[in-house]
This record gives sequence, C-alpha cells and structure tokens, in this order.
Amino acid sequence: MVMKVYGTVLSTAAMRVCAALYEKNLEFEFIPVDMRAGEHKKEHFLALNPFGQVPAFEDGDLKLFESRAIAQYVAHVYADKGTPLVCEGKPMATVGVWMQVEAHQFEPLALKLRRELLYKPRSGMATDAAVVEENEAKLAKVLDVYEARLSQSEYLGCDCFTLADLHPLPTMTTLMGTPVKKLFDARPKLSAWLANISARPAWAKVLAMRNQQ
Amino acid sequence: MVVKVYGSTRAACPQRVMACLLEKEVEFEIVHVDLDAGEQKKPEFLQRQPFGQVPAVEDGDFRLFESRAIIRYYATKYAGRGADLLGATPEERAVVDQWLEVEAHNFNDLAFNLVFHLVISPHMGLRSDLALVHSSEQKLEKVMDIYEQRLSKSKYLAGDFFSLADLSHLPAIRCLTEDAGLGHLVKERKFVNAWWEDISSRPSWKKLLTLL
Repeated sequence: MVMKVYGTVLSTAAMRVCAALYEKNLEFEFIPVDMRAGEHKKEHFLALNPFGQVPAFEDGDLKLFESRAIAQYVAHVYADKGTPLVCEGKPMATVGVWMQVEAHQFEPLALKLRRELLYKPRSGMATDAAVVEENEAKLAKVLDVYEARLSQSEYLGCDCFTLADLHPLPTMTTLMGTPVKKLFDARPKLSAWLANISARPAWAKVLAMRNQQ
Repeated sequence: MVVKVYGSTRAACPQRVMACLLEKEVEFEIVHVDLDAGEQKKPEFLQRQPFGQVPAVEDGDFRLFESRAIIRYYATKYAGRGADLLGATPEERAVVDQWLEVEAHNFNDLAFNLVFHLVISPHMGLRSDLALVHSSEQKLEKVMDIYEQRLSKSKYLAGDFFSLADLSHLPAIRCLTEDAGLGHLVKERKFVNAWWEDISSRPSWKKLLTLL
C-alpha cells in the first residue's frame, strides 16, 4: 500500500514531509486538502489530525500528524533506503539539537515574517513594518548562530545531510523569496549551505510539485 | 561521571530534563544559572547555549542544549533502563514523536504566554499583557479539549504506556495549575485530570518536586 500525505503544496510543513519521502525514494500519494474551503477543519480531516492542521500522513494502518514526527518516522523506519537522514549515538543527539533549534528558534520568527511579507499582501492587508523590523533583528541573531555552526560543520547536525538540514529548508526557501533574503546573503557559510542543500534532487522534486499546482 | 545540568530547578525546561534523567535513573548534578541576574545571556554561558537559554547539559566531553533534544538522547541511550519512554516499536516511537511535537507546537507557546504573564512578569515587576493571557487561555482550552478526546481513548498520550510525550508536559502543567491559578484547565476535564493525577504521581516526578 502506498503512503499518503494529505496537505497543500503551499504548506512548508507538508513540503517538509514530501522532501523526506523524496530523499528516501519512497512512493507516496499526495492528497490535496482544500484549505481555502476550510477542508482542514472538517470532520473527515479532523479524524486524521484533530488539530486541523496539514500535513497528515498514512503508512498502512499507521496514521500520523506533525511534519517533524512524520519525517523522523520515515527516516528511522526506512533507514536503509535512499539518503540516510538520521544517524546514531552522540552525532544523532547533535542532529536532534539542531532539529529543535529549527523548531523553537528559527521557525517562529520565520513564520511571523512570512505572514507580514507574503500572506498579508496576498490577502490585501498592509505589512506591519515595525513587526518586520523587530523580527528581522531577532532572526539575524539566530542566523548568526547558524553561521557560527556552519563555520565548524559542513552540515548542521553532523558531517552529512540529515533531518537537521531538511527541516528548515522549506521555510528558508520561502523566505528567500522575500527581502529577508538579505540576511542569508550577508552570511557566507549559511548561504553556501543553503545553496548546496537547495540543489539536492529531492528538493527539486518538491519544487516541481509546487510548480505544477 | 555525573551529568551536569546547567539551569535553574525552578525553570520548566531544565525540569523537563531532570524529569527524564530521574526516570532513567541517570545521576546528575544541577549547576545553578542565575536567571534573575541574566547569567544565561553572559558570554561564558553563551559558549554552552548560543541562544542564552537554559538548560544546557555537559556529559563528560559531550555538550547538548534544547531540552527536547536532551530528553530524546537520554531516553534513547538508556532505552533498556527504567521505563521505556520511547515505545517498543518504530510505530509506537512515531506516535510518541507526534505528541512530543504537539506539546512543542500546539501547547507550549500558549502555556508559556500564560506562565510568563501570570507568574514570571509579576515576579520581575513587569507589566502583564492581560489581553494575551485571555486569548492564550481560550486557545489552550480548545487544545485541552483535543487532549481530552485523545485521553478518552488512550491512557497516555502515545498509547497505553507513559512516554516522553507525557513527561514533556509535566513542568508546564505543574506551573499552570499550581502557580498560575489555572487548575480548571485540568480539573474540568475528566480524562485529562485522571492522566495528570497519574503522571504527576510518578515517583520520579515526586522526587523532582523535592529538589525545587
């Protein structure tokens, strides 16, 4: 039975899961959820994710939600397929640290900036320049930490590409399409790392999914 | 060698780590970081934790930060010792991870807003944002309704076994119910209440409370 991912191509969380599946060369069916029509808040979707958020995922009888949990499941259970996205012991602990850094230090600021710079203009609302300035300043400090890390290590978690690098890729790609790009361009190690991981074939497949919609 | 946990016993994230180490019977020592004096933002501490937050851990030569990464490491390393906090199969592990993510993304920020504005701000003589308190409480009520639904079908969050997913909630729920006056979030929900009574009665959690 083919794995199923429920989501939209505009969701960075859904793309996080798709990226992991492509890295593993795993077949999956992508089932679009019409968020504009509120499908994610309807009964049949709440049965897949009671928080009414995308993505949701099925592998046979196993149903999961939370993109980072899904990506970890795929990485561990299909460890012998495609790119190894996890490792063991102390290196995996460090991968784990950088997975948390993405979730707690980077993503909250990134999502605020995305809302101001992309979502609000799209729905005809005015960008709040003060919010942008405040969060750019905070994000700059976080990206300084990434820059320092990437000055010591080729990838965030260890010396190869893992979930620690995959998890921030979708949201970083989105931000690169906004003025926030300047914060990345100003940090050579960070921008080289991002260019490198953005060029991965699995990510090209994710972008192709987005471009088809 | 004893694991060193840098932080304050009164802070939620160090408590998360302490709870896990107690469950796994791993000896540790607390190295106190004076949060009121801003010690966590000083250059020396930033070497350990570049975001200037507690906890950080030192285990021989090995250093870690981010409490949820630390607990995953020790739960994995000592999987065979004490309670199995990660489940017995990859599928169980995935559901543990799912509810750990729920704690981190759907519960934590709301709980933090409430704790910060109802407990920490008054303590530090800062103004509380009562509008944020109100909206956070309303949103957290909806989240707890989903927990109630889950726990009506499952004894613990990830299944019929206590896991890191339940453990991760202990510090914030203790603070919400005992320090922030929001006990009703738990008490008004039959299954959440039973779950809270159960997990907060564990010997390791009771031991932690004696260390505060």
